[in-house]
Amino acid sequence: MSHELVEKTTGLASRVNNLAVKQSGISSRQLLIQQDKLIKLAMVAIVQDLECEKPAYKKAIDGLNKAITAVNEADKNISKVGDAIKRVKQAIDLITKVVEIAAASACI
Amino acid sequence: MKKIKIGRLTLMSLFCVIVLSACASAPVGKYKVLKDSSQSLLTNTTDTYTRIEKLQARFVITAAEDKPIDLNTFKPLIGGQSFDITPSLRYREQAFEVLVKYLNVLSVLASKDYASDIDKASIELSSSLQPLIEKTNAVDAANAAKVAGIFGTLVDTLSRPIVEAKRIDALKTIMDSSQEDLQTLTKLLTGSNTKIKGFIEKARESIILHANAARPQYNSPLRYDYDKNIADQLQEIEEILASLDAINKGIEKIPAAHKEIRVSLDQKQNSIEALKGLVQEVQRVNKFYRSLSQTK
Repeated sequence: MSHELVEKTTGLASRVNNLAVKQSGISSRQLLIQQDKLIKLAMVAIVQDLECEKPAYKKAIDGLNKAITAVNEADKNISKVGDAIKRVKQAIDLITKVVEIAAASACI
Repeated sequence: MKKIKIGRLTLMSLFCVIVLSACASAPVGKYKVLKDSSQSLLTNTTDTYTRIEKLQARFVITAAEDKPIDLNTFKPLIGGQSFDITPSLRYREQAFEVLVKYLNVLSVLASKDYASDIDKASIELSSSLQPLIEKTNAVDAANAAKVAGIFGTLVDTLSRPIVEAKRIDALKTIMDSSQEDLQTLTKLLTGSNTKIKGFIEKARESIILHANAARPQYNSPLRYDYDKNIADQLQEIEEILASLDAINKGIEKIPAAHKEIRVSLDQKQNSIEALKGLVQEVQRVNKFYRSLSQTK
């Protein structure tokens, strides 16, 4: 809709310009003012057209933000391999202590 | 103007990284080139959008209506409606930042050194194993050290392929699921830049209209300064338009380069044509900016 508006406003501004160059004095000046207004209205339509794209942008941005979250999750997941080894080490340390206590009890 | 640029030498070294990393599990160099190229395009986009904002600020003065000054005279308004393009530019810049952030975290995941963490954990594990084996009187101290060492190596050897497999799987899944959004976003960005070009062309029409209406008489001393000012404005517009075209050519190449890297994870394709195309476009944009700074 906004895109159509841009094209129609631009076309009208161009016709006004053609008319203005054939005129002189006050008429020409008034037509140039009208042409300038039409150009600025076309700029308004372009800005509105850009605003209308926001929902499409949001959908794509949300998708990429989800991908960023997925990368962070994957990072945590891969780090778990190292964590698992650390947990085995902790278990071994604990078992070693239990063996020590058991050995000490046996001596008494 | 402060800019982060990828120089020719950096690009050459990045290609060396690609070649060297061809044997590695994840193509670390390719991810880095994709991330750096996109960052460079974002930097140029920020610069160009800033120039557009400055152009608009000057435009509202040049093209102000012929009526007494009030609070709205120098605002981007016509008939109560705004033609302020700044919020639209900022929104697109933020959208581009998300894209670059995604490529950055992808590059980090591809290159992160999980192995050293595993190595450290394996060494600690074997050092804990030795006293346990000794205390259970299974073997003597010398043999306990050997057993612990073998066990640690075994854990280390098993963990590395698991980590690499997990890394590749994650990269594949994430890149597959984001390919469509990446394509959509790049298409939206290039489409918006084309519309932004239309906005600037309209501003140029208005500037010329006002410039002709207020131009000092031929041969008057004021005429030359006046014309110089208008010529500078028109030159600035030409440069902004050319810059938007160059940026668009680079952005268009991002999805294909992303897809190419994803395919290379399956080792079905080791082409770097799309990535090379992206780098070439980024080089063009950077050269363009360098030549601009020389003319200023």
